[in-house]
Amino acid sequence: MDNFVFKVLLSLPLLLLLWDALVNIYYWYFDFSFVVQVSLLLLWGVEVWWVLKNSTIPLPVLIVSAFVVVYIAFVVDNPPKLNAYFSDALWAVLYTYLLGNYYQKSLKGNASSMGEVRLSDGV
Amino acid sequence: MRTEFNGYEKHDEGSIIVEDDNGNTGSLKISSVSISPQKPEDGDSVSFTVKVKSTHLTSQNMELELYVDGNLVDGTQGVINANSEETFNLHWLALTGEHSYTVKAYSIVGGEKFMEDEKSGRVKVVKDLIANISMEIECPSRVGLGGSFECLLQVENDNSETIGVQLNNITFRSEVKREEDDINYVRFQRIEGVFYLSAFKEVPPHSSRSVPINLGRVDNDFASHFGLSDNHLLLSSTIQGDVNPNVLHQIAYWDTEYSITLRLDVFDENGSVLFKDKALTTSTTFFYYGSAQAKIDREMRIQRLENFGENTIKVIVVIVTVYYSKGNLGDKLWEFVKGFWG
Repeated sequence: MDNFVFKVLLSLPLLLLLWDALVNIYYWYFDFSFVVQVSLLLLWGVEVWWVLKNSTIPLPVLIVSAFVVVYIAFVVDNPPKLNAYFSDALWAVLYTYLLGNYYQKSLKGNASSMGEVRLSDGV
Repeated sequence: MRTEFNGYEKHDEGSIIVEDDNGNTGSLKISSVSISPQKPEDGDSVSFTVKVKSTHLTSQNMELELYVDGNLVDGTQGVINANSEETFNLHWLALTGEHSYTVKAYSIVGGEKFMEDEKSGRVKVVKDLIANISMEIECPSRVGLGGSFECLLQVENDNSETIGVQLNNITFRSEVKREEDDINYVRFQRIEGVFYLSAFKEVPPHSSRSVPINLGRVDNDFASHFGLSDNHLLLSSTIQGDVNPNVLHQIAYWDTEYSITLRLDVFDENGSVLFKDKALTTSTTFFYYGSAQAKIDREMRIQRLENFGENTIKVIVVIVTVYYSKGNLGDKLWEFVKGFWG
């Protein structure tokens, strides 16, 4: 279950950035925020691919990049008001915290399942 | 009658009847001729009301004839009672110009007409110029602020004389709506601009002319040296703080309709006023850079969809948070921080 939640959390920035990019493409409205959204989409796409392939991404890298991606993705959609900067930062912190925890849980889960496999193999 | 004859005096009273050679007594007199309408226009049926007084002792056959410029145009016959006054009507279809008229009264005796009296006068018929003048003001249906602006007055003169058109002023009027950041705070501002014009144009008979309406004053709210002012306050507006993240307070300017009223005088060729301060009204829409409204509409739709995506993500994060915090959230947070910093 923790692994599933982790994957859901991992895919959230991807979904958000994809949605924003598709809306911009549908309305044929390309501005600087669209460029930012596409760049973040590529960055987070690489992160997700890395995590799903190896599952051994350093935690600080995952946390920092998650915060940056989510914070910028939120901020770029909102007007530059001070309260928006703060609230977006809080959302990004909450997301990063959850992602980091579930990443650790999923790592532990993987390790324990591998251990079970080893035991069953009689090693 | 008193007479003296060799000291005798004789007194007698009575009346004397004088007859003409035909044995007629009395006469017919035209006591008055009145014209209705008093200022007839071209094509009107002019009524001549003639009062005839008879001093005949017996009723009399009579005939009235109306001559205009020496031509017989109408006549009527009738019987007038002894020592009475009768009223007769004669008619004439008015033609433009000044005319002389004569009403002649005849008595008819034994089938023969005998001239009794006549009365002459003059009547002035003016052409109905107004009915044959059509005017229309033409302005562009949409005008961009800062753009060129020209209205035309189209005058069609179907009369047989020249008319003159004098432009007095032109007024722009609108009720401009202003929405502030708080959507509940909306105020209306009445905006009005008057330009005093001094154009005069003659329109020859059976022709039409376009009179350009140039705004007489420059550098005010409405006009600049090149045409319409680019003053955005002429338009309804809304403060759209969250339309564009690069601008703190973007103001959306909406298309705004203005009513335009032109006031003018029209003269005939003698300088008499046919229309005084006649008002012609039309409307036009002012806009800002043409596509501003459509652009802002599109940005608002994009903004709403992006907000929807963002809010969905936030809801999922909240759900995960609730699921995660089934245990002691504070302890877990502390463990996480300790674990993160090593």
